[in-house]
Amino acid sequence: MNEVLLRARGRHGGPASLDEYRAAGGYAALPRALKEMKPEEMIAVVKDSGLRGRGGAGFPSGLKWSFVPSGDQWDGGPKYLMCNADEMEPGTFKDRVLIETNPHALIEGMILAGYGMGMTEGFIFIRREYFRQADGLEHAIQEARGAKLLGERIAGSGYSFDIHIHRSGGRYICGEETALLNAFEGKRATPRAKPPFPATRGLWARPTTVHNVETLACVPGIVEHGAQWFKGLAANPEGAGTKLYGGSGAVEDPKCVERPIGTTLRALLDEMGGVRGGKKLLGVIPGGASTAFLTPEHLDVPMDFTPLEKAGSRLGTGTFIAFSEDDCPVKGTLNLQRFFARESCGFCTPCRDGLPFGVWLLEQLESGQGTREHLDWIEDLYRDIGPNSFCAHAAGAAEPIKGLFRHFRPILEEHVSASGCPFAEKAEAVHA
Amino acid sequence: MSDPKGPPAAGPQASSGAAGGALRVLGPDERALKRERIVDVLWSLQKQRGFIDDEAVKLAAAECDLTPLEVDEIATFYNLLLRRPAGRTQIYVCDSISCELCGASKLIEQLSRVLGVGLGEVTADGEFGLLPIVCLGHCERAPCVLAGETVHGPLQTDRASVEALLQRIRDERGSAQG
Repeated sequence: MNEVLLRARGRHGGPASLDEYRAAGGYAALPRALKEMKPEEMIAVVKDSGLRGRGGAGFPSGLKWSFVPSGDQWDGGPKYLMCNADEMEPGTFKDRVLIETNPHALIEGMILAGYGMGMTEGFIFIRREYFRQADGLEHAIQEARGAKLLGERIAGSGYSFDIHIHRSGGRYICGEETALLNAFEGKRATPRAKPPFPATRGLWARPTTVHNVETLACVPGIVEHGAQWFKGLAANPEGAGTKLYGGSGAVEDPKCVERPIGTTLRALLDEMGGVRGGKKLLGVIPGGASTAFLTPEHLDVPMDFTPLEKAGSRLGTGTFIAFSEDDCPVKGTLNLQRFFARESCGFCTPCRDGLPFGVWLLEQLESGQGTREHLDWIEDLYRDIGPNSFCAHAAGAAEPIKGLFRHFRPILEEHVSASGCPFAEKAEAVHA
Repeated sequence: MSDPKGPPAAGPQASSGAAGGALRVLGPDERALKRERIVDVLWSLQKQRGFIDDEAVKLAAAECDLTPLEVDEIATFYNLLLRRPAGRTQIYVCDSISCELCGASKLIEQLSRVLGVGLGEVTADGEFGLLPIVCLGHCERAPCVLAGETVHGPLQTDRASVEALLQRIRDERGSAQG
């Protein structure tokens, strides 16, 4: 298929330069769009395109844009576009691949999104661990400034916009949009109360839209080719666009590929050489740590927002983590819960104290100390902490637990009856 | 260090030029951002001093118009900011799920054995600090580590491979300094 987000690649495996991006059709539609399209027309086309946020939540992007005050609702002061490149969801590496491959797609997307929402300035909030990627973005921004694609009166239009990079210090909660804004402002990165939402009071209490990298990179294609074209890219009728899918864990050839959204897990897994070592598939976590397990019976479900919700999980970031028949899903879930417990910002009690208790309970099962009561406590705990905590962190942690109990209850019970992990010996053999 | 009595941290006001019309685009230098720069300031202090000691907290506070307490709230929050000595080079080993499914536990065991330290400890000669970290976003290269500014992976977990990894990290640091 034709790649859209990754349509340009650097000749030597590095990021595509401005020339290379232009040779692939990049920035072609930008000058005309800034001169001839009204901002509200741009919002309308993004709404019609069916684009949904690629950072995990899947919120309709056009709707998000329409929340930003404009016209009579706008006081004339600054409005900000914030790109969330704080990719830290375990198993997720797609935004890194996009930035490494085709950084100008993000920059062009930010200019167009900025124009649509009447924004004065854009920022890219990137985790510090992405050293080289942030350097590559800096370089691409310089190229764009040199070509008058950023700065005053872009490409001869009346629109002025610039982008700056903010390198963070590495912490998962910074991916939560209001925690991100606090982090940016130089405050401890705990989430803010909502409402007010960032659309009206975000960065420095000004209207702000926070978007994922991949979401913004979808915008140039939509503006250039239109809403129907974007919808037509999908593999399933309710979908829209392409998706950066990743596969890691127990797969033969882990990687990130751009495919029509709604491609099945079976097709993606095949493309990655199947399960490592020719083993059977036990299950997958479809879209990063805060999505629920799926099993081989879901191999033909389209990897898209609505179909995966119907299957009891979520698309999340679209980067799946595969478990083979030798990998214990309880041990895997314990690993995920250690992550969530460690990365809790500590602001509210259900999350700060609940997540470590969940880790302890799962450790009891893995170490052979688990009882049936522990199983009930785990279910109760994760049912309670999500709705009672301040942000979505603990609710995200509850997702893999839900999938574990729905699909792997016999394995959980075996941990109790066998007084330990039935996979322990297999794991030794695999990684010896 | 810049003059802490410069113009007040302006943020929104500074760029709220012409209402409704073409708005002036400000570069970071013009905006007189102060506390927004705190992570960058702490990062460069850490690079100079090896870690963020109490003196560095005070310096950062002066630089960013914050109290030392406010700086500590931030210095203790981020995974890559070190409030204690952690060796001349930190080896951050990813222990999240994709790496774990590819042998991260074995990798940590082998690194511990070769370096003679556990997670969170520094080698006797002060060369390496071995630290756990969450997903580094390089899951197709699992298991992986971050050392300096470079991610290494996928890594083998046998002793010879881990020794070779340490040599690569030493060589890279040598060339970065030279």
